[in-house]
Amino acid sequence: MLNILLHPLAPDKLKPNKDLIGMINSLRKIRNDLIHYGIFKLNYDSSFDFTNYVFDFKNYMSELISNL
Amino acid sequence: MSKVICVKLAFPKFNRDEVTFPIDNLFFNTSASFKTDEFYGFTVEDAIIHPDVENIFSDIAPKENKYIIEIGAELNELYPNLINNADFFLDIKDKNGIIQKIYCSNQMAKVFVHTDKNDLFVLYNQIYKDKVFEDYKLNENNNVQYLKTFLTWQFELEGRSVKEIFAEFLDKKFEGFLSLINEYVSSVNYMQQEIDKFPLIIPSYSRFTVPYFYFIIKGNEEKIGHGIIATNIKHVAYVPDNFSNEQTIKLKDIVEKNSEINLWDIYYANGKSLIMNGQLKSGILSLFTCCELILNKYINESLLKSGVSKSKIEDSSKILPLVLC
Repeated sequence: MLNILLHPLAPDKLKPNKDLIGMINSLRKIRNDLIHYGIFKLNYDSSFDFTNYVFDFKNYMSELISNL
Repeated sequence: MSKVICVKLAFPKFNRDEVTFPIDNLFFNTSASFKTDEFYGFTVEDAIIHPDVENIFSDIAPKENKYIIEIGAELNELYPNLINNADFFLDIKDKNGIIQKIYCSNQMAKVFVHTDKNDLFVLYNQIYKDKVFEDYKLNENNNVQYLKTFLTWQFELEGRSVKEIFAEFLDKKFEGFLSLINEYVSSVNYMQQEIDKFPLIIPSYSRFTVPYFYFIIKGNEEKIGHGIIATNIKHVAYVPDNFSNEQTIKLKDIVEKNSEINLWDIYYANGKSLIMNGQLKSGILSLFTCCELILNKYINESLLKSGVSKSKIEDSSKILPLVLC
């Protein structure tokens, strides 16, 4: 859903930028690796990066919802 | 309903393979006493430190410019003995491919001692229980606490004073020790999956799950110092945060479910705190749930906005799979 629909669905002023798309893709990869293949590559430090990604994603989505 | 029964706990067997167990280990061959209200900790560079605090073990001089240091940490679980030995050691290959000797014990104990001068606790291997009780004039009424698996690592550091080596090297050594602990823990996890139908999988240890380390430092003339060092003082200082009036009202609203706080925000906070406490997989799962929830919210709101009825959305949400794929 994310990389196909999010960009066209988002209003012009809230189109996700490259950084955000890249971040969402890395979130997706970590999730799919874990759920489908049981691969868990994160260590303690990269988990904090991951937490920051989720924080940015959560803020972006909240903005999208409030602009609906 | 299940019956409640009384269980008498089995005590450790006090076994050790005396033929192979190294005698150079400090923690398991001696007792170490610590003040209950005193520990060392890292601080910010510009902090004003009381001069008394700064002179850490200034009476211990190095032996040929070297100190022997042994750091130890109690883990959160009691790991298996090796061939019925509660004291054992393992040669663990570190990240640089160098073999490091890690000592493990399942029979360490702490006994609390009250003296006229201060309150102490003594850390000792139960093999030496009689000697410790004699030395500190203890009896069966003293409060003994049995520890879970206790790991120690011994190394040498070059330096002119204890203060100098603490400032320059100890932080990196903690990281090294944690990574050795995690090598051991992940290997035990693997073994337990092989032998146990319902294995207990222990998450990785971090500075948050091992908030402080014990250490013994040995210098010239066999002088020895004991201490506790905290990697994060706040974790061991027993100083709680304080919620303001406004925050208290908010907390009450959340627990009483009166608040309009989004579920994903709660999952985010839980995930973050799990990760900070070293429970990476559970934390990541919580963060993914946060993402799924907010995406679902977005989809549902979009559908509502486009004229789809609420009941249809509720029906579809029952079969809608995770949307993050």
